[in-house]
Amino acid sequence: MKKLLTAALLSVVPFVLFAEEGQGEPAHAFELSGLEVIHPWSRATEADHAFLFMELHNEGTAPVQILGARLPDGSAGQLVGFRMKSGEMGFDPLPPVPVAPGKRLDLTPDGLAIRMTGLNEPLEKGHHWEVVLQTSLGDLPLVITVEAENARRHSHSGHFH
Amino acid sequence: MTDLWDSLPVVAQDWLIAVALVLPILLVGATLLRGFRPLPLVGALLWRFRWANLMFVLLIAISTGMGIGLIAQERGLRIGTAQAADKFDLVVTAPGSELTMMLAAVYLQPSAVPLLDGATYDRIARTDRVEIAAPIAFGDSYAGAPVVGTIAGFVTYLSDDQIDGRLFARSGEAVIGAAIDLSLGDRFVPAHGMGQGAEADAHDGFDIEVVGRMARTGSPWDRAILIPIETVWEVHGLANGHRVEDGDRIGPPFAPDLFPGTPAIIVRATELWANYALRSEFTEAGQTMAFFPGTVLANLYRVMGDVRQVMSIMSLVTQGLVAASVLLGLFILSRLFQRQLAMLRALGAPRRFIMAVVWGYGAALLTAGTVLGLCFGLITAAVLSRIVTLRTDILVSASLSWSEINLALGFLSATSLLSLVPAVVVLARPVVENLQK
Repeated sequence: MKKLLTAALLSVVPFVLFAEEGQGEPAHAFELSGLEVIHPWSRATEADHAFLFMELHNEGTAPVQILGARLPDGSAGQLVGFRMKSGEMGFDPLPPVPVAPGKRLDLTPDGLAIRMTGLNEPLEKGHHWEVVLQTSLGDLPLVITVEAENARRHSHSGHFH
Repeated sequence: MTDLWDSLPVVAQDWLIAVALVLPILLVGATLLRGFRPLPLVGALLWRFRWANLMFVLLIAISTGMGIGLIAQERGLRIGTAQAADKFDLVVTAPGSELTMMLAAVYLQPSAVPLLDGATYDRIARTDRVEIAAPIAFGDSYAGAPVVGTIAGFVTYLSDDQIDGRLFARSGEAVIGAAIDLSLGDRFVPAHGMGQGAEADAHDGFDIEVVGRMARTGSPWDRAILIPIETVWEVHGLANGHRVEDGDRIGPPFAPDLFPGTPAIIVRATELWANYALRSEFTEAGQTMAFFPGTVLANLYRVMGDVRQVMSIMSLVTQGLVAASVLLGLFILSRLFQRQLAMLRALGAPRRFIMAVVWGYGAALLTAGTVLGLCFGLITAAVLSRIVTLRTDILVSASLSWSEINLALGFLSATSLLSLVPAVVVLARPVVENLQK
């Protein structure tokens, strides 16, 4: 029974990998039942919306749907896809996107992203903020690193975690 | 307030900005002209010094037109290049420069690039949610037009199934772009290579028959000749991707071990969202690179956007210099008729009437110059668009937008207010002194 509880706890409660990255320095990788999220990041902005980017790896045996995200205060985040139409850049709302077993999904600038709206405070470079990733496996709390306003990737992008 | 502004439709915002820019002119005009009829006198001044006035108007028109034309042209080029890439959702190539690969695969500006093998193509073509996986092969040409090998499904997709004649159904047939100077039933022999170095007789004996013509796409593919990819391979003495028992069949599936290679695969997903998943799936370190041409263009436009900002600043500086010239010119012109104005004042004309005449005269020149400048800008943009379209086959159609109109209105508004200065100076001069001149 104890083992069962432990297993259930591990599968439901997301845990932070590689906590040894340093005191005060948030983790760069998160996991929920085989779904790994690496380097979640965003850009510094003073607007009331921001885009979330990250690498997703499905190490499990079943497809995982990425539904969106939400802030702890309840503000919702929507999956969006960058599009170029008649020379104008924009984003189209997307339905949940699956990550097949053994596959990865990249959320990148000018590609797939999660658009968070209803931000109350500016996002400053070097700061972190907490966001909950919503998946078909359940919610996964993430700590988002805020990069520069014009960043194209996470500052640790390419590092192995 | 910001929320209210953001909630307005874009057209309403543009109209409001235009009204706000014109408002100062209307207010000054209404204040100065109220109760007077200075227009016959302004008309007489315009006619009396018509050649000087004409030069003045042309100076304003050319400077305004140049700035507006270049900005409109930049936007037209941006829209044209983006529309030309609309049909290319996802491109898979060997790792390298996305820009080089995009220029080759989308804009048919080929360069020597590594090839993807048959196993890679097979894996991509068989992936769930891939509707079209079109290999392309280029390198040959006919009369300067690139001859591109691909599959029939891609030709249907590219042309929206608008083909005069029919699709190629066997090796040795071709579908031509709308701008190709060939007719249905014509036969041609492709030259090996492109441009001046192309070897015209390298593929002698490989007659290709034109069986269809695509509707205009507004992209460089209008000046391309599309043939089965098997024909490209056969012409170069390679395997044609099929086993002997397949007979004359063309198109996928191909036998991976008999697939000579392709520099790029154009991928269309069954659903929009799947493109993003496929991009991640087809990007493998050291193996394949998948990219959205739209994303590459966006990065390019950001660089161009910086150039556009520089152009806009240069345009504003030019407009500022022209505004200074206008002010100087109005001083000079007002001196031409200062004696007549002094006469009016001596006869008892109110000071506001004199101001209304001088300001009305300046405003008339500035308005004529600005309106003519908008026309010059439109003509400049149209001529440049035509040249770019003829040279690249990217359909560029530049037209004036609200940003150019508001730029012109801003210039008109600022210079019209500045033209109050000569009007005030004219009044400050002693009447007797001016009468003696």
